[in-house]
Amino acid sequence: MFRTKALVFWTLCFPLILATLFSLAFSNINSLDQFDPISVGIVEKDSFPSSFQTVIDELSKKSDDQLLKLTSYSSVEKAKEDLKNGTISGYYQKEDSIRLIVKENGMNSTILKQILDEYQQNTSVITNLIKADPVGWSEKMTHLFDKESYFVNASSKPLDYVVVYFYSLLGMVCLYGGFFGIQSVVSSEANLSWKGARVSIAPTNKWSVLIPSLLASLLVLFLESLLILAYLILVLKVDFGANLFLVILMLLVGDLAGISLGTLIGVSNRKDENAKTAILLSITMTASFLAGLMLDSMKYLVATYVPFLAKINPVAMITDGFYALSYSESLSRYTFDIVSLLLFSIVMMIGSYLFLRRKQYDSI
Amino acid sequence: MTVFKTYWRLIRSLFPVIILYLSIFLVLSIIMGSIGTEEKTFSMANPKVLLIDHDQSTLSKGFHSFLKEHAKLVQLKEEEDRLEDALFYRQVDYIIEIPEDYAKNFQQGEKPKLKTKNAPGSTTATYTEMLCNRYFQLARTYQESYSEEEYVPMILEDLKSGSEAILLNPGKEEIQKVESFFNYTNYTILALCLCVIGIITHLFLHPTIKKRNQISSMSSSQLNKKLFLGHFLLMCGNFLLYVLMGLCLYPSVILSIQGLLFLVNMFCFHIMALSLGFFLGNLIKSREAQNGLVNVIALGTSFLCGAFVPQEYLGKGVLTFSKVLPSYWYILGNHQIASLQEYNLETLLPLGWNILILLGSAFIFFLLTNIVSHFRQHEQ
Repeated sequence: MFRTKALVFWTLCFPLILATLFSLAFSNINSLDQFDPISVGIVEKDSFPSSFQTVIDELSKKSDDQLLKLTSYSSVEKAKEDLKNGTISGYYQKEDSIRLIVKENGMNSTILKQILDEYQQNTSVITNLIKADPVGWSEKMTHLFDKESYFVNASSKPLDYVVVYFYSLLGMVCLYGGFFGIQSVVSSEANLSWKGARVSIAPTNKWSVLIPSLLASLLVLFLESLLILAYLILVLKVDFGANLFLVILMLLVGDLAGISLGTLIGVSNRKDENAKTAILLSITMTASFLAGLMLDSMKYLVATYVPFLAKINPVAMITDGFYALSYSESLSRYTFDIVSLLLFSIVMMIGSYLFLRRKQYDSI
Repeated sequence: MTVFKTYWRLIRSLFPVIILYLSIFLVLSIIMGSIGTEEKTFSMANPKVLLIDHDQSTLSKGFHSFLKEHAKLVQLKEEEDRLEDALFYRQVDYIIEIPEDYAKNFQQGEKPKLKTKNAPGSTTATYTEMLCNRYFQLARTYQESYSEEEYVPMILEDLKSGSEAILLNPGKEEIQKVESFFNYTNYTILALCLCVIGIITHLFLHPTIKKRNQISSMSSSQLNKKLFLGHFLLMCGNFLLYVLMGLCLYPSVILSIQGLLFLVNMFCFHIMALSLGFFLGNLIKSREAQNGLVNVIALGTSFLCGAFVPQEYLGKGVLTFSKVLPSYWYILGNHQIASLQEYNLETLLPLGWNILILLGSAFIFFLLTNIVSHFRQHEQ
């Protein structure tokens, strides 16, 4: 198996290269949505009402919940130039009323607008307070500037969206094990290879030739998967949760599923090796795409809107198993994935058995 | 003419590969094109919020109405795993649970905190908390002066009024989509050119075919020229297909000066890809190795140079390394074109340099092809 360079490339080198590319390209993605104080400008600060200046200064004070990083401008042109080159996300300008000028729509622009909205809404709030209590309204107004939050975050673990790409990559590797399955079948089928023809005339049961070959394939694929896992954990620092034994078990069961799928593809049709490989590749790439290899949220969308497809997709089962180990507190979801993969493998092997039994060649 | 005809016969047999790559590109472009709408005016971002209301009080129902106006309310089954999944896959930004008797405790002056689930420290979570806090802040402000039934409609009315915000560059999103469209071509142009040109060059270099050609009256340089002409025409056809796709998806931009610059940049990249494909086809003998290399180069450059993930999101080290790759300059060129506000020597010069780097790389690969080809001619 190790001597077939193309096989080793696609099942070992290519995933390692792809994992490295993922790691290099996505290294900054998680930090992109992390909040940093928003750089904002204010043109001719003195022309603004003092109450607005106080609000802005308060929000720009250095603290853990600092919202803004303020720059004062003496002219609109300079502010506009800084906005164009991205130094600031927007600037406030006083004409008849206070206006916000931003470069583009987005979360930072929305926050800047929300600050201005809140400031302007306070006028009507104060009017309502005066209506109800013309004397003591100012005391009640203090709640408007209360910084204390009404919410507390109960999420237990920071979310690392990028891991899904690595999980589904491992799923893809497991299914690439199908290449080994196909090769084992090709080597034992008389109409597909000289080796198969030679084996077919030997007075042995077909399964007694194929099963050792499949077991050897499983061993080779498992060793490759372990190498890739080690690379992901030790070099790329991908989080797989605390239970390494269960991660390895998932890999082993995933590899078994991949090899059984390849075996079924190998025995179920009379096409040559190239056609069988093309069928496997199409299935693997579609399954990986639906499990989130190209777009992480795809797995969720499929599980939500086409749950049946998620339940029969082995790459999605493997990805979900790794995800469950990292993010779910109970093991029930992981166990469900393992059992589903085992069932998948059994169905594939039974299918292969049905195709292979009593297969004989009158002539080749 | 024989070589030329054979070339097109081979191309016809490779049609499935060509259609596969073009379909991948078209699907990617359509998916990316359908995300977002064109920005003509300022619009607030709407976080996706899931509200679980066990209280069903006037205060909590008012909060529900407030969220309907200012956020995108998401409905999901209240299963723990399902909620966690939705949060992880960013289908929900903020989950808020209002317990029973919350309004009662709130009215009594207590400050019971509402349990939420969100991506801690994210900009979206920061904004959503700010937005939701505002509702309860106003409730607290009005609480002593008005009854719950009175102040909830007042809050909703107060929060309707907004300030004025202006976009400096309206319609910018369309150009960003066009930029992404051209950036994706990095993958398909490279994959297609390297794969198809590689296969054809490989077939012509097959020992028996090579020997057959060597005894013919046609010199090897003539054969190379004809092959190169075939590759060039194939490349032009591929280029025209992208122009057509661009015209269908973004007609207004493609028919502008910016569109023309995008096309010039893409044409030069095609020349570079052709030259690289010809070089690799001559250099790599094994068909399997060629196959692997095509995938590594097309995917590798797309990830490292900013075709799939924009260059501004890539790490400094990655960008420094990717400067040695022509794809980096092609994608940078696309970005420069998308950012163009005015057209003069000063703004167009950086783009000119990028295009020169692409053509220079094409020339280097062409020279290398000649060197490799020279050595392979004398191989047994």
